[in-house]
Amino acid sequence: MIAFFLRDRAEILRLTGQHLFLSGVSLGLALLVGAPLGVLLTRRRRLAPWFLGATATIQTVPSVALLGLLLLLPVIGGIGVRPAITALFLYALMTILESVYAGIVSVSPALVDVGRGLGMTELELLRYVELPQALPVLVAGLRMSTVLVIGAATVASYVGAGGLGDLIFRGVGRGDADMVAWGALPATALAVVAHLGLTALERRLARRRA
Amino acid sequence: MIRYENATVSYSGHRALADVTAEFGTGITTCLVGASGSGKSTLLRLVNRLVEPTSGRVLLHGEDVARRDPVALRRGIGYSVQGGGLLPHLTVADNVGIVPRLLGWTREAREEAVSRTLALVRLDPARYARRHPSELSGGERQRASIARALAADPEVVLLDEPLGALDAHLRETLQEELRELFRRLRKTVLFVTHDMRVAVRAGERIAVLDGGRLLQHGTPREIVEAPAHDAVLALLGRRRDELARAVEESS
Repeated sequence: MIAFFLRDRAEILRLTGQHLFLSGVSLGLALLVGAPLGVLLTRRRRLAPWFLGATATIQTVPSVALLGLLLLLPVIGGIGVRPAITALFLYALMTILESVYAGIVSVSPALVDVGRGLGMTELELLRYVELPQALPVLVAGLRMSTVLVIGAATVASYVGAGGLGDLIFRGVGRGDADMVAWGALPATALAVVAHLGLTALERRLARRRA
Repeated sequence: MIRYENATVSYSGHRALADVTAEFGTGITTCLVGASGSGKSTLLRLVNRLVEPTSGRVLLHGEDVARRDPVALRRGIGYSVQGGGLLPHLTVADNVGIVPRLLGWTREAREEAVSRTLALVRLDPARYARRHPSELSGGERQRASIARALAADPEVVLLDEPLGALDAHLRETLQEELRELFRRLRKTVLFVTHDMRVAVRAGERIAVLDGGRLLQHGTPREIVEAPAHDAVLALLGRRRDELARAVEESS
């Protein structure tokens, strides 16, 4: 196993980098779309069940099947990095959307009333009251979607997007246990580090918000 | 001056406030007293448009508040609620300085306002400014909340059960202190409480509400000595002589 690492460490590092790129870009996009959409849903609460239901449905589609479906679509689909990011983005979107919505809806109505009574506009309420109060829940959602996306990104290898899945699937094909291990271990480590880091952040944020 | 003209508020068929006409004078603290559901908080919240009248109007310095932009209106009116309503993620200084910040004051002006108002409510700025609400006692939170209501130096201050979450001893200290403070600053204050003992000590005028109606409006002495209605008598309770003594002491 060590021999494999010494020989192929450049390749392992390259694929880890690719894995991080796929996960990072899709999480970033999901945040960019999910956070404002989640806030918007708290202002139009009757629409919320529809949106949350739709994104939840996407998440129930198995990742391989989702990539298969995306093969058929132009622009966002096909082969390569683009359909992989589309699929991972759709997975992350649901968790982020839901946590932004749940976080803001759970803010104490008494605090919102005070903010309004002090003369805050809707945007100021969001900035000074709702988002800071919802932050621990938002970070919890980000943690869950990060772990989910890092795991699902291994499957991206199927459509030629690269990432640590390459080593796993190639290793399985060749019956090379070392190769499988050097794909699986870094992927697991990434997920664990993301989980621990974001859990620590969540605790720090929650302390001052009681 | 705050003037109500036939103000009525109905929520889905229920009348929270029924045809109230009254005038609360400038520079005077008026206590709005009643049981829960009497309409006292609704009456208060009409002033800063947290509640809109179903019919009738509310005039502030002669102008119908319905014509004012609610955000600008509220920034010009102090507001404090039961328990303080401090934002838990902000320090005392940031809480107290929030309205000046919304108004776009400079940092120096904000810091000056925070120190000045914290001193008014007897919280040493050096000790308290950087603390978070979770590091304050109940009384300190309420003091900080009142400092926040005063920070932008509003003419009108609305207090919704400001002493409701405090124990009896603390309540007595604070109610005397608040009356002196507001009298000295010449603020027009509406002060909601369910407790007649608080009202006779804190208020220069008392307005008694029951079932959405304004039953009696007068000085603490008038209310205690000549209750105009059975419901007013009920609120005075069995310890009327104690209240009468409190009126003597405060005047």
